[in-house]
Amino acid sequence: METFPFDERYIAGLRNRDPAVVSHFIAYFKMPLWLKARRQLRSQDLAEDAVQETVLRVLRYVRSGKTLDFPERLPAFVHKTCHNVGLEMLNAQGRIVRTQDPGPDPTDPRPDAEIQVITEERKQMVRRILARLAPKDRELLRAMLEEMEPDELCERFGVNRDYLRVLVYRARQRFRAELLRAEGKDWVSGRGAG
Amino acid sequence: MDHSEAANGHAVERYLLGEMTETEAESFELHFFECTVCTEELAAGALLMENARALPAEEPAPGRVRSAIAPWWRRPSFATPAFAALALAFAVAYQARELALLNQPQTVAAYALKSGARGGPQGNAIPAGKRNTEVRVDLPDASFPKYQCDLYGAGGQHYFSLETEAPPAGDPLSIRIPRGLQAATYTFKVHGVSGSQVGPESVYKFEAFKP
Repeated sequence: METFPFDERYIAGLRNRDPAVVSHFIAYFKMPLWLKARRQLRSQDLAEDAVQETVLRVLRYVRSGKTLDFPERLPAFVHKTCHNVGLEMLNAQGRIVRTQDPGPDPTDPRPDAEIQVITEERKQMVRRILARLAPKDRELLRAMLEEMEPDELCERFGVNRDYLRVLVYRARQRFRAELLRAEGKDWVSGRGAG
Repeated sequence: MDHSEAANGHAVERYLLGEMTETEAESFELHFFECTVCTEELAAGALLMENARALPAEEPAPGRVRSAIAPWWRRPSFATPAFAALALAFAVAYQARELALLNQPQTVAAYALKSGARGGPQGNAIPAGKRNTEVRVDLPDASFPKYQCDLYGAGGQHYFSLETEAPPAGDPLSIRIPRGLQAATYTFKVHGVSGSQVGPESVYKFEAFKP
C-alpha cells in the first residue's frame, strides 16, 4: 500500500476525490474499522455495515467543505465516527420498530470497503493449524475461538489466562505466516483469496 | 497507549479475548488506528477466530465420511489391522536405521547468525543439504527461562516451531536441524517466553546455499 501522511493535502485529496488518496483511505482504514466494529457490535454482518457507513460518513464530512483542525488526527476522527455509527446501530437494534432505510445517496454511492473475512483457503489454514497442536491444546483453542468464556475455559481445562494468551499468540503467528504465504503482503487489506 | 505498551502488555491477545476494560480497549483502538503493525497482528487473530467459527457446521470433514458399502479391503475389519501392521513394520525399520545413525559419532556443522529484520540475509550464509546443521544465535535478552523458535521461508511459509529451555548463561541458543536445509532464504525468529510474558522478537535472516 502506498503511504501518505495524514495532512492538509491528504484531506484535500479526499475532498477532491483524488483516486489514489481515496483508495488509500479505504485500504488503510477498513481493517481497523472492522476490528473495532466487530468488538463493539459482536456481529460480522453489522460490523461490515458499520465499516461502509463510517467510510461514507467521513468522506461526506470532508466533501461537505468541513475540515479537521488537526489533520494528523484523522485516525482518531475516523475511530470516533465509527464509534458513533456503532452506537446508532446498537440503538436501532434495540428498537422494535425499525425506520425505513432511506437507501444510498444517489450522488454519493457507498464506497467499496467490503472485507472478505471467511474463505475456503483460510478455513483450510485453520484446520492445518489445529491439526498440528496437541489434542488438549487443539480442543482448548477450538473452544476459545468459538468464544467460550475464558473463565469457563480455564476451569474446564485446568489452565490459567496466561496459558490461553500464549496459545492464541502462537496460533495467530502461524495463521499470519500462512496468510502471508497464500495471499501476499496485502492480505491485511481484507480481500482474501476468494 | 503507545506501541511498546501494546506489545509488552499483550494488548492483541487481551483485546481478542475480551479481557480489556472499555477504556483500555478504546485506548488500544486509538493506537492501532495509527499502527499498521498492531492492525496486522490483530487482524490475523480476528480472521483466525472468524474462520475457526465457520468450521464446526461442516464437521465431520467430507473426506472423513465413509461409504456404507466400502470394498472389503477398505473395511475397518481388514484395513485397520493390516495398515497398522504395515505401519509398525515401516516404523520399526525406520527407527532402527535412525537409532543406528544416532548411536554413531557425528560431526555437527554450527553456524552463528547475525540478527537483522530488514533487507537480505546480510552475510548469514550456511551450506544447504548438510545433515546435522546447527544454527546458533546470541540472545539479546537472555533473561527468559524458555524461548520460542520459528523458521520461515522467504514466502512466509512456516517450517517448524519449537520451544526450548534457555541456554546456559553466556552461551548462544543452538538449534540442530538433523536433515539440513534446502537451498533457499530463511527467516529464523526467536522470542523469550516466561508464563504469559512474551519477549521481543529477534529476527535472523539467512541463506542456505548449494556448496
